[in-house]
Amino acid sequence: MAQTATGQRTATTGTQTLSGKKFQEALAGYTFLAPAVIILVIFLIIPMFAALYFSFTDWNGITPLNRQDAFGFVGLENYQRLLLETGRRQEVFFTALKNTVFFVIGVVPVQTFLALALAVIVNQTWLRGKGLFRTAFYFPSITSSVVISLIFMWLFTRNGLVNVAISAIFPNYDPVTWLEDPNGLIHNFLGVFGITGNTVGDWAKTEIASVSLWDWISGPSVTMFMIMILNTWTTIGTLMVIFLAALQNIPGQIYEAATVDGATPWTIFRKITVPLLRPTTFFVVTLGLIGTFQVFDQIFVISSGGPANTTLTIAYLVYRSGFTDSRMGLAAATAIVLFVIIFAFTLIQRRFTGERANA
Amino acid sequence: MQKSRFFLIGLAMLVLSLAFTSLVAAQDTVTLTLAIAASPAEADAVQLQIDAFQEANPGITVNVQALPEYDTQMQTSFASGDYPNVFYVGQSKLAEYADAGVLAPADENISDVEGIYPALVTTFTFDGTLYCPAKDFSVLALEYNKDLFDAAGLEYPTADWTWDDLSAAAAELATDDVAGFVINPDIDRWFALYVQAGGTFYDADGNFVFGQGDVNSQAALDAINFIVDLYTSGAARSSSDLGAGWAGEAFGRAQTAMTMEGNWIIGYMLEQFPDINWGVTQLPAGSAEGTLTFTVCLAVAADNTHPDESWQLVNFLTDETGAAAVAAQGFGPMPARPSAGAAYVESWAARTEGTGVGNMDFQAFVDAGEVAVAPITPPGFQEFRAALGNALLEAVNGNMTAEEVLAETIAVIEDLS
Repeated sequence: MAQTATGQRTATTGTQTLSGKKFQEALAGYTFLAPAVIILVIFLIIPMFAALYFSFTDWNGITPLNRQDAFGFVGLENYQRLLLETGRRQEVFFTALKNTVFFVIGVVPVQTFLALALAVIVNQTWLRGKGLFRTAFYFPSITSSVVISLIFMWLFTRNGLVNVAISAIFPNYDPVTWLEDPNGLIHNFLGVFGITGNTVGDWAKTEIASVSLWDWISGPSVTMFMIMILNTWTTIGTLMVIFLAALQNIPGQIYEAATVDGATPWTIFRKITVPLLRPTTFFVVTLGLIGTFQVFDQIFVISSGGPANTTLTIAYLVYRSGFTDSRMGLAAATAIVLFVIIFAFTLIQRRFTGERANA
Repeated sequence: MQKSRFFLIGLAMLVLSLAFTSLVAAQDTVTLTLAIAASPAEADAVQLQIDAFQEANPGITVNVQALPEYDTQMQTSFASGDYPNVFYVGQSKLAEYADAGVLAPADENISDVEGIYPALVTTFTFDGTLYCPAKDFSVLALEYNKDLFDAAGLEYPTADWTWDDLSAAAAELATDDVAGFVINPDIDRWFALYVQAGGTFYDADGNFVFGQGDVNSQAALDAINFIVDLYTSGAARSSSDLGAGWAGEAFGRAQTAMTMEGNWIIGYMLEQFPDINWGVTQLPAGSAEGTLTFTVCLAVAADNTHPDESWQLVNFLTDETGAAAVAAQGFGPMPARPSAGAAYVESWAARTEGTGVGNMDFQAFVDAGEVAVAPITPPGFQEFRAALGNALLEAVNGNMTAEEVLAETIAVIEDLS
């Protein structure tokens, strides 16, 4: 087998044109690729360019596209209204951006760290019932996110299990209405020291992109925090499996050598495991960034962007503008901006974690 | 040899992946598609009417599609240009769809327009053009728990109650565990208070005048202050505050003495909480009487190869006979014609006879139809609704005054118009 393969490779480098056999092989290859490529083109590439195209129009998303006057071109107006023009659209967009960024900052590091910790634990040789733990941790990831969201809604109602449990531990606890609390966590924290929007000073009222500085530093709302917990819990499983696979790929000899040299477990973890996991960490963080920037289904099921727009994320805003507000052009522009943001973040993050790993 | 076999398999996969086309057999009869957004009970009821229609019109076949994610699915089929001949249009979507040109104007096609509640005709009129006849509708009314009223020694609410009666009774009935009144600070309930305070949504020329002008701004302020007072005095609470998914659930679990819900609560209560002893009356009045409607119409597609048959179907479902059928089916909403109101009340009385609650009298819902208006905002005003809803929540939480709420929502209206 190996010999034939080498023989063929030499033959190809020798002749520039494809021989008949070679051509047949290539044709078979592309034919096998075709179903996947066709699906990608129809459901991914074409919609991407269609979104870019519609972002320059004022199409309402309803008028049939086969009509002559279905939409008009407005150039960059949609982008201008989202990003530059002071007003309602800008305020809503930047509120969504702010919420999304809080969500990403809260979820990605925590889920990455916890997934790694879980992977390391279930990878230990001394652990009994590994299969059970691995299945248990992975289970939330394979369950429908709608079902999990509904279960979380029950858990987090005012008389739900979470409040009951907290009350049992802290008898003085005043139950939080998790599902309808628009107060930001940072605002709440500052409120403990008597700092509120009215006492903090006039600088807080300065508006950047139609959102006041005080609102920029609100932190995720209590409801958003609940969704962050949910999202972290459901994604950890998948990320743990990825880390686990990578951990099992690290050759045992390296660990043996380190142990012989007298390294402590902590040193081994820090100097061997973490560096060798770098490509995986890059992958996990990238997946996390993309997934969290696009968070939609939990919002759709649990809060529809409320209370007070504090769980409105960019992906949900795209849906809202396009389908409940009949502004498909604006929705497309929002989606393109989201794409640019995710792309930029991935590139930045690649510089930090990916550089050496992918070299 | 082997490679050509691979090639053939690959080619077969390619062909399969492209084989999306389906063959449509030629037919002599006209086939109409009817899209509905319906609970299983309503879908069954509609299917019964469709069977009757097909029997009466042998040349027409109707294909009923009950779509689960209705508005989204309809919007995508509109965009494709290939959409159902006849379909439900919710009151909040009428203006958007009419504006986008996917609805055929009704012109003279609706039989006996005068027999429909005038408020429902107005609801489905956009820019002076009537588009479709209402199929059925629900209104908000005041539901009360008789046992809780008896225990507190209070008289049951009546149709001539005012806001003062409501807040006084609610304050007296409220305990730590049980609310006097459940009203969520969202606009689909609060707009009823706005109407009761004398507010209107549109002027004679069809301009959106919510909260604008002396009368409407005063109505908005009164309505905001009323709900804020209900909350701050502890007379009213939200359903989530009681750990319930919606007001009806809190009412069913006897966590509140009163709530303000529509006809949909009937079936829910009888099914989920058959032991609760409850009654219905009209909403209390502020400076005016008023309540909200929630309704759908049956519209005919603008791009349509069978307009005549489509109108035939619409009229079959919404004329006197259609209204009578809605009254008899009783999955909740009322027929859109007052002439069938009595049949609706009788149908429910007959169905509840001998049950734990006894003959239920839902005349209050029918009566409320006379003073009801649809809380409709212009197309693209979703952000106004969201902003007003958010501001109401802030007001109830004590973070905004009524004047601030009004100023902010007026600013949004100006921004959007």
